[in-house]
Amino acid sequence: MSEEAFAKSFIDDLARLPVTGPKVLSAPSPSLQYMLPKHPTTPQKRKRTTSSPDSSSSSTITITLKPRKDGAELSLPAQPLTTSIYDLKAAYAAHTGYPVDKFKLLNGMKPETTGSKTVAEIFGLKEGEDAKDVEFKIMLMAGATAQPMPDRVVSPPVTLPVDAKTDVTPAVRSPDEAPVAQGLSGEGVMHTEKFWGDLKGWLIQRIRDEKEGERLAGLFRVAWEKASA
Amino acid sequence: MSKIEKTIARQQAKIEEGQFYEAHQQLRVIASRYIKQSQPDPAISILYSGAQLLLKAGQGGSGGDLALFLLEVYNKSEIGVNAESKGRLITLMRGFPAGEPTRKRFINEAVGWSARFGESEMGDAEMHHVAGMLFAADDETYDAERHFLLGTRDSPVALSTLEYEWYTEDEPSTAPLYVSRAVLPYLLTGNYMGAKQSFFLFTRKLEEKNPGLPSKKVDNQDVDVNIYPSMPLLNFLGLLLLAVERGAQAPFLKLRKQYEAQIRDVGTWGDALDQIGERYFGVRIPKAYNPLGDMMNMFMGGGGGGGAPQQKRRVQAAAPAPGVD
Repeated sequence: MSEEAFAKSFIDDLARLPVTGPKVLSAPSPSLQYMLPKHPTTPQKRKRTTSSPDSSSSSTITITLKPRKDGAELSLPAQPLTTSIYDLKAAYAAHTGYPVDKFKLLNGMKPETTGSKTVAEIFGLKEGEDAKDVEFKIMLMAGATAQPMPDRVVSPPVTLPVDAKTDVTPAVRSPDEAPVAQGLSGEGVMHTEKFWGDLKGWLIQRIRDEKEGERLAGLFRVAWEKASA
Repeated sequence: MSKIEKTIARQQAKIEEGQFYEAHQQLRVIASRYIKQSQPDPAISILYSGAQLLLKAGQGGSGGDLALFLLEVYNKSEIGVNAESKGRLITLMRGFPAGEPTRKRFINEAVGWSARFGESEMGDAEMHHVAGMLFAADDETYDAERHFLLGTRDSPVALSTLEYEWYTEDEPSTAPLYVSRAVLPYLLTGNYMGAKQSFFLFTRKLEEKNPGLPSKKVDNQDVDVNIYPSMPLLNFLGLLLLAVERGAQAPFLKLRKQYEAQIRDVGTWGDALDQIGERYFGVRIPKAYNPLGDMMNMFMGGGGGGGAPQQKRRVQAAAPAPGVD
């Protein structure tokens, strides 16, 4: 039977079966052999000649963290392109005393929720190219208050060269600013873990079945991600 | 400036002057002193900053040593996985000079820590993704695979790109071997979306780069699939992904039977397909043929009856003949 003929008869068989969705497997355990064995004819090592850019010639950029309302602005010159969101949050936390989970970094309107992402990945910067400086907006969450500095062990991810123009005093927030955290609306909400957590909670409560609620929440998320990809 | 910051600034000046050995030793001693006083936080700050400074100065060995020391402190002080603790390790992972041998050990131990104190027994997905990116950039393909397969939702894109680039260095007919290295393992880890996405991205690239590659869309009212007449195993993988969505045993067995000979020629898919058969389709894995064990059974009075049902299962599962793997 030709490839095409077999495929046709195969999918005709499938069409007669209900789509159950892929079976949800239990989480993999550390003993699982999940990798394919090395293939005997496959080269052990890549043989490309254009190797990855030399890390010694690393470009640097200035990254500015600007609060959406008032508060301390932080300008970090000479940062490597591998600077991650985690690094920037730790730097801002060290600078202002806000705990890292009480503010978000926005790229334009979009919150950057993946902490391990680098500025190179977010802005599509490449080593060796003319680097442009970048800026993130800081969005404070409700209840964000600066922790007193002396008690904190400051562990900045990068040595913090602070520009002279930067306002170093930690911002004291007035209570009427608290609703900033609710400022996020529309599509941006869907990018937060909280939204999906809330949705799952509601589903579980509504259906009164934890497993099914979790499954549906996962399904909605996958579908939404697919549609917005 | 706090006491810790002063210490770090002093060592930074040493490193900038090129006194790497001295700075390394002093940082170690100061951190150990804090640990003896049961103060892990300042020890962590010192080790983290010190490791970073040394790595930045190209001192992979001593920087790596402090990075490993930091992990030791994490483990002993049972530091949990959070944005801060994990963020430090990710930054250090990226800080190693390319090709530094300590990096692999550090990455393994960092992932091990996240498995112990985090949510996933397999290790933190974000850390896996970053490790995958680092190994991919260094052409350490197998290590990159190992981590991407347990990574984030960005990982299938990166892995299929890697497999495709790797494939372009091999014979044109080997495409299914390379894409299978993403598809089958993602199925094994229960990441169906990852399997599907990497297959889709790989085949799309294959078609884009090879406009002459024969391909034919086969469809009915419910299902459609692209068939590549010159690459039967690519078709096998595409059809397998469709079958997984239904979970019914019969199509899976039919599919394995149809491609039995080609799968046997590959030689490395057997175990993975057996696992996939069992976990998605409820096809029991045939017991490995073990002449010595069978003989022992006979002597121990276990009876020779064990052989017959085993034989039956083997047929039912349409598995490749024993000894293929």
